[in-house]
Amino acid sequence: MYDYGTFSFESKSEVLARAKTFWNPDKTRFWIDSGVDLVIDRREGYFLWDMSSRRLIDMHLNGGTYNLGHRNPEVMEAISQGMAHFDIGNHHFPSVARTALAQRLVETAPPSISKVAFGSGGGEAIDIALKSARHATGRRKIISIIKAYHGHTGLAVATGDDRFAKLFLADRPDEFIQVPFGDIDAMEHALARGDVAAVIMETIPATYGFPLPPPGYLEATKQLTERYGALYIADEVQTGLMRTGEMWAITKHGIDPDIIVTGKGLSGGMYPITAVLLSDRAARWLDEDGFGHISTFGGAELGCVAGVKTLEITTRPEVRSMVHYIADLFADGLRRVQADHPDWLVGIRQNGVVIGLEFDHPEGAKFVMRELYENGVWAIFSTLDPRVLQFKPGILLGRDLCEDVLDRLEVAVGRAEAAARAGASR
Amino acid sequence: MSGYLLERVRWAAAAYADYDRPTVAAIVAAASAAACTASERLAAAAVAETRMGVAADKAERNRACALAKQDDFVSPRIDASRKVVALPRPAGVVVAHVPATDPVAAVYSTVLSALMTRNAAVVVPDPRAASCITEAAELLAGAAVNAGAPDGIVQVTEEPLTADVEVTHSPGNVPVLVDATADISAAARRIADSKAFDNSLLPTSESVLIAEGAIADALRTAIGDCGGRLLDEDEVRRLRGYLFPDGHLKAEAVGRDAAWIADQAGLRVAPKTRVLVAPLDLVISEEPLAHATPAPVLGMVTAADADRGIRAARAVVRIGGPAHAAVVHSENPGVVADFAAHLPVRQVAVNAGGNSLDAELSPHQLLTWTRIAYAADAPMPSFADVSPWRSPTGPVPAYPRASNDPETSR
Repeated sequence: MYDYGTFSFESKSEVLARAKTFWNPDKTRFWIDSGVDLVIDRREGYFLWDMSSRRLIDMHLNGGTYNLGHRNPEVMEAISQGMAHFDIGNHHFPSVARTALAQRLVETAPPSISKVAFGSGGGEAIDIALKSARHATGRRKIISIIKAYHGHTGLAVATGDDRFAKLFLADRPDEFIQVPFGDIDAMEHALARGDVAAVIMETIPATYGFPLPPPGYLEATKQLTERYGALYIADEVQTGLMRTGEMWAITKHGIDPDIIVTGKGLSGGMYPITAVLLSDRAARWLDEDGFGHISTFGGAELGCVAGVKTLEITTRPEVRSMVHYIADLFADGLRRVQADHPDWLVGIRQNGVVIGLEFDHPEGAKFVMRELYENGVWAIFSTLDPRVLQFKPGILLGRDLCEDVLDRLEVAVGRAEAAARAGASR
Repeated sequence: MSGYLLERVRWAAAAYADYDRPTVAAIVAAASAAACTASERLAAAAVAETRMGVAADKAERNRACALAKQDDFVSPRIDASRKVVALPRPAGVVVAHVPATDPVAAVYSTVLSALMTRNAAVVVPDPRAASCITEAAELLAGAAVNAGAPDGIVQVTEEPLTADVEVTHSPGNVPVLVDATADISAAARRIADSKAFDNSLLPTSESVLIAEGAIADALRTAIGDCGGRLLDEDEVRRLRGYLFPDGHLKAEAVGRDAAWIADQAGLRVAPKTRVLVAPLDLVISEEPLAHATPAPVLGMVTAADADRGIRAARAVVRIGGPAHAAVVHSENPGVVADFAAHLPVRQVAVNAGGNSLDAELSPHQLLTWTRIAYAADAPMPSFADVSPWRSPTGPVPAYPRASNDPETSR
């Protein structure tokens, strides 16, 4: 008997059966077939527990949602206190919580940023960013990279991979242009006609397996947007919030973007809220028609409370220093693992604790994911490049747990290599 | 809430624990040099902030505590005859509660000891001296990191926290015995100098003087010649009333000079008076002047002979709690040995002032030794050129550059 207060289940198999019946049969089946029969029960810090009570170290973090660990005590306390006063709030009115979070976000951002608009999910925030760019430029076209992933809402999904756009007939190739990542000539060719509203780019494209931008690529892209009158939108949903050792990864490139999009870890994984950080140029619609984008849950006040606390924690000098230590330890440890498996772990893509591990097999990361799962670590393959494992340490990890994870990874990488070479692909 | 200060400092401590001898020596030398340079400035800042003590004395003490300590607490120690190699291992994180009475020197001493032994240090300042303590700690932290120490190796926090080793700098009740064989005038001078030094703020400053009866009068006269002022019964009563109005030491009197205290207590003393000597009948717990007083006020009792004097000294330590040190003035090694054997203290100074003692923690307290032992009948290879420690070549941690950054020299 699993009693969760407002509901209960007899067993894990009952949950899986009902998930297929009432929720998402394909997704439920997919994970069972993948050898990851996970139904997350308890969670705390960087640990998850399956309903079977098996403990997993979370190196997925839902793309940084759990940057500060699961149920971070300081964030929980802030929300608990907040609940004594706030609810979602009324989105039409100025609000203490939204104003406070907006101000703090602007204060953390590069100097180009002056205003904040809020959403409730990443896709909505991307849509706001794209709409802001269209309003600012009076142009429709949006450039993204091939294999981009910016979410699943109306405009966001059109920027991304066909797999998700075409499924719902949401692809719009006339307005949404895709160029190969890292190809600055293709970028210029797409921009040169002067009819592009914005280039949108994850600073390191997560779902594509964290390929690192070639040196100078983002800088050159930013210059091209300036030359051709387009806006530069930095999607920092996975790379922001200190994951690269700085608050926003884009500042490590010396770029002052026109728009920054953030979400996921913004509220410590405790309340859905996202934000679009806008420059004066991108924020013009907020002066012209402040009701231009309406979202009942966007900028919900409890989410803002969680966001203010999360930002406060994330920007502590101690935390920044820890991220550098964690990144340094993993850099050394991963090189060690690679040295043992040079023909299997063929690439380490790392910037801070944004890490992609590239394996020499079209679905290499799925083998490693499975072996890691067997070894008590949860890390996920990259949806749009399953050769690459997304390997995402939290920013508050202690050294002991980092060493523990590396020990487990070393074993899993070796076993996955044997399994893949034996042709045990499913 | 620690704010992740402790978590960060643990990362730093773990990194530093592997450093090799030359880098540790360079880090200690750099921190020591920075400390030396700031000795006088921070002494003045401490007096200005706390209104306690004497700037010149504090500067002298700061310089002493800042001196580069070049003892090696990093290299393995090899005992070939016993076939043992001992590896020094740092305790980890040293938390130092730094008092307002001796702020800068205590920071210098603790932080340098921690750095010598490859520990991290967290300095918790007394709020009354928070700014000079913080400045001193940050000065040493900056110098250490610039010389290659890990980021965050020295931290300051006002939040209470515990770690691997806790260092407190509480005043101890220090007895000083002068026996019949002592050089009386030298003893008197050393006691007066020590008691007057920094207005008696050092934890090793003498609390109670015990004079063997045969020389008590001579000693009183000699101390009088050195700036001591012997109080009469009525003056002792007034001094006690001023210093301990409700049984506890009046905070404003801490670290003030003898003339100022005498004036506040309504006693008439010469302006050059450096120490107020208060004769007491007995060393008993209810006598406040028999306890450590961080001011130039010295209790004094007489004992019929050296044995009784040693028992009185034991009483001083017994009623005062854990003591740092005790002092004896004697030309008789038998008395010195008896004194040292019967007093539960770590250090005994002979024919010297209490202020000459090292009140601070010893680096040995910040280490453990892992012993590598070979079987008695097996040969032990040479460890002469073996060291398990390695120092990094760049900043620790390395700045997180992208792994495809051409600047990444990995």
